[in-house]
Amino acid sequence: MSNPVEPFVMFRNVDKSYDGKTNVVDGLDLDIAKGEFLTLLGPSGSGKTTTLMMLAGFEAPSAGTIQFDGKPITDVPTYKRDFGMVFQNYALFPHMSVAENLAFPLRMRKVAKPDITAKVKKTLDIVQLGHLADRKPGQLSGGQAQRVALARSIVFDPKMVLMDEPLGALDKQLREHMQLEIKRLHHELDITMLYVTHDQTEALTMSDRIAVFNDGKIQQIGTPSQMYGSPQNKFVAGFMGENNALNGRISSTGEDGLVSVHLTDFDADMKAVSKEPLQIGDTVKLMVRPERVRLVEKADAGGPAGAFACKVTDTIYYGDHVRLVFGADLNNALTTRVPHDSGSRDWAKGDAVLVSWEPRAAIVFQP
Amino acid sequence: MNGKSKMSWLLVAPLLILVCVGFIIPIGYTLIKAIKNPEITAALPRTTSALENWEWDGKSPPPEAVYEALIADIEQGDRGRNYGSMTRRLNFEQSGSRSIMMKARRIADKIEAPYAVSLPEAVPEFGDGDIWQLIKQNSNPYTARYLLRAMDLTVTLDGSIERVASDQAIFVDLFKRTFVISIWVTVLCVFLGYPTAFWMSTLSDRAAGYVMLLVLIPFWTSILVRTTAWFILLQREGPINAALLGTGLVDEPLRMIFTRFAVYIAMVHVLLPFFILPIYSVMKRLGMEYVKAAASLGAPPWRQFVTVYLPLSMPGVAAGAVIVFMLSVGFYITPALVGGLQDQMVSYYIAFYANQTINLGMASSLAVLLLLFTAATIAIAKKLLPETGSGIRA
Amino acid sequence: MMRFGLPIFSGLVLFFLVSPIFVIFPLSLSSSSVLTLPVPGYSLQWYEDFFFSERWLLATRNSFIVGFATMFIAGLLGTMAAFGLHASEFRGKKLVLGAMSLPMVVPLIVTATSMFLAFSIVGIANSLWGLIVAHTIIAAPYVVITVLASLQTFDMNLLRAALSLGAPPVTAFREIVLPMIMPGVIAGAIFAFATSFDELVIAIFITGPGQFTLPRQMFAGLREFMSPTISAAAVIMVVLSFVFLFITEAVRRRGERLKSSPAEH
Repeated sequence: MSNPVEPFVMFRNVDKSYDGKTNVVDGLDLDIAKGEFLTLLGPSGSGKTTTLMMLAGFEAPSAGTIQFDGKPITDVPTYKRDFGMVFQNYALFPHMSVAENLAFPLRMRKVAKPDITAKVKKTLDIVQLGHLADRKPGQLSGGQAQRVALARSIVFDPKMVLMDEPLGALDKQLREHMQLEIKRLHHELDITMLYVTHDQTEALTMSDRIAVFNDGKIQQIGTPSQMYGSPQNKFVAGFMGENNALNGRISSTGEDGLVSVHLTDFDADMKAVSKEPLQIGDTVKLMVRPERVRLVEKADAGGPAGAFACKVTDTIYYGDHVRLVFGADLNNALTTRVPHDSGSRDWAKGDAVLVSWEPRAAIVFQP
Repeated sequence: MNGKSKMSWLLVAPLLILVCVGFIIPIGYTLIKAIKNPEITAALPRTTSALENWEWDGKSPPPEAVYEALIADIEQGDRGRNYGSMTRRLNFEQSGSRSIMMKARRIADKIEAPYAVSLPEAVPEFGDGDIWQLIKQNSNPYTARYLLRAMDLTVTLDGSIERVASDQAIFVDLFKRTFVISIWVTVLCVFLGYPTAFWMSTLSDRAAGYVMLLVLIPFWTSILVRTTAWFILLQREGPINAALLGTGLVDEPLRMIFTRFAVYIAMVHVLLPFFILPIYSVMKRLGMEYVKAAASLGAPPWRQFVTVYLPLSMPGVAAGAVIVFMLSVGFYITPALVGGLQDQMVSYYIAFYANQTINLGMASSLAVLLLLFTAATIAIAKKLLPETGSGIRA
Repeated sequence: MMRFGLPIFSGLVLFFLVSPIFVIFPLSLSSSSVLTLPVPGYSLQWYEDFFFSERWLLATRNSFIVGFATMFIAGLLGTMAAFGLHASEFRGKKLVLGAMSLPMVVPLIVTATSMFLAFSIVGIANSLWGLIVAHTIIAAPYVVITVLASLQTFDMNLLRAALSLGAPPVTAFREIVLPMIMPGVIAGAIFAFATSFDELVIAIFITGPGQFTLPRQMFAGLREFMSPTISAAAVIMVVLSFVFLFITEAVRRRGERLKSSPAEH
């Protein structure tokens, strides 16, 4: 993403502290490109929501600058920033009808009455809620309320839209439907969106780029596939998707970026990628995704190089797949997914197998 | 300070300033007024400074210079208000002082120097040291005498603190009486209110809504109106006596108005809603679940109540009782209207000193003690029931 | 025994609470100047006395002036303060709240004495203004408490939403916050009016005959001469209390209906 022009939104060295001692957001540098869908992902308390609140103008940074479209906006009050905003609990005004909710930002901008009516109608049609214009928010279902909130945040053609866990209150099915809906709006309106969530699936499916937050800092920023496929540290590896974290010790290092790791709980040596300078003898965590673990039945002698033998300690039925658990210690167990279809074999506790993975599929981090 | 707290301060400021200027500063002023003692120095500036170096030996009068200063104060000073306040102030400390000082003023321009001889000739009390010592003792601009007197203590001429004569010792009894009346009112409110609130909490929401009106009507009716109702009801010729006579239960009208009985019945009537409302909301939240659980575990009804319901509803009882006690300690209108002189509480005497005898030092001192008494009640209540702190303002 | 004992006991207690208030209704209509029951005959003479007496009418007028002024000032300042207290965590917040609730816990007689001493110095004793200031101070804490309570259920995200949609803070407060907390504001304001309308102790201390309020005039009547006109005045005050009670209950029920509507899901 080489960008000759200045980024649309620019955080530079931004700190935020509520008590003057600990920084909730710590030395943040973040650029958002025009038209981009950027997701801030992280556990609660990681600083992602505070970052959004600072951009929205609800919180002032303790240090650093925030620029929007080339101009610092720290001193611009929220109501002059022109950002649409969607809240987790929708924050629809309960004493106003759906249409009045949508008209509110236009009234604030002193738009002429007929224009307001037209614009409200057009926007409600975009979210397919034209028939609910006269309802009060209390009479809407969760999904409808969320779409009204969405419509209200775009009705005044804001310069960008900020969303704070907008789908958190919806059930799973509705959430997936709304993800597509938001994605569609993003394309249709060609608008910059900043999205905050703690749900990594949501982040992966919707975003152009994802910034993973922890302890007030961005751990890694990149496209969904970069984030999933080559996490830069243990936190990102653990937070994005499911991952095995196995105890090990470096047994040899190579110049191709690969190291050999002795897995303490399985008494096996496996190769893995190393992103950090490591010495022989260092204790490490080896991360490998369940779907990248391959199984060979012990009966077929031999097997691929670098495989090790172990026994199934538990099987968990998931419907579309079965998970196999290896290793005695549940906290450091290795799990893998095997598809569950008519052709596949039934696994049982105690079955002996050979386990392996591509060296490039595993990454080691310092514990 | 960030923008949000600045906005908060701006919004809070008008009321805060009003409360500070109109309430906290006046209360502080009252606290100071309780120990202020300006009257003597204002009326007799020369005399008090002349007395500064004089030591009272229990007998002999001061030197001529002091006498001259007194005559000068009388002749050159403001003869009206200040002098009058001073005589009243001295009389409060030592009855009889007022007439002595008045006599001195009357004859001041009729006598000749040396005044140490001529003044005692005209007014013999000036011949010994006592009156002079009294003036000297009260020439300090601050005094603890009002506060001491509010505890039935006084300072003798030789400076020791002792109890006042028994015919003047009314304040310790007054505080005791205030305490006793308040405790009894509180106990009666608990006794009457607890079962009633419990019964209300067992009703359906609809029924409880109507019954609640019977509590809310008196709650919203002014204290004066309710006291007036009792004032009328308890009259010698009032409806209650008429009914009692009519049914032949008594032969002659009972004396009910202006008795302690009247004070209790009217105060309980006024304060009972303040107890029922908070305890009812606690019981409503409590519900009967725990009692049912206790019953299912084999507790007989009596033990269900004593071991489960009572302890769980106790915070509400405590909160309601503290409200009732605090309010009754400060009661004025109700006892003043339906009670006799022997049934009056501290508030009555504060009003008496402030409005009738205009002894502001005494009024302030009693107010200070009442304030401390209330503060102590709140502090003790908070200590005993830490978890109900917020319930107190239910 | 419990089954019947409890309702009977409670019934008697409730009877004790309400009956004295209703007894004054027939008494005020008595044709006799001796206040006793049963009344010998009915007449409106005591109401006539009330409505044709300069003193009672002046007292009524004063009560309404002071009551409405207290309602507006305490309502305004109390609502502002409650919102300020709710809007952010600032240093000294507890102290501010404590200072504002002091007038509720300090015995009224102490408040009255102090205000009497202080107001005399600045010259607002014996004026309706002095009484308005005093009543505002003792009534405002109740407004603060009721408004704070309704702010507890107010979602601050609504305010944020309004700001993000382009509403300046004052507009956002007027259009979004105020309509939502209105039940609390109204309840607090009515309570402020009722507090002022019923208040007697301070009135005894800081009013002269020209500023007598209704309770003050009744108190004077009770102590000086027992005229049955007082029962008519009492009935008028009770009826007003019913009005206050009715309004607050109506507002409370409406507030509860608003709250119970399914705003989420």
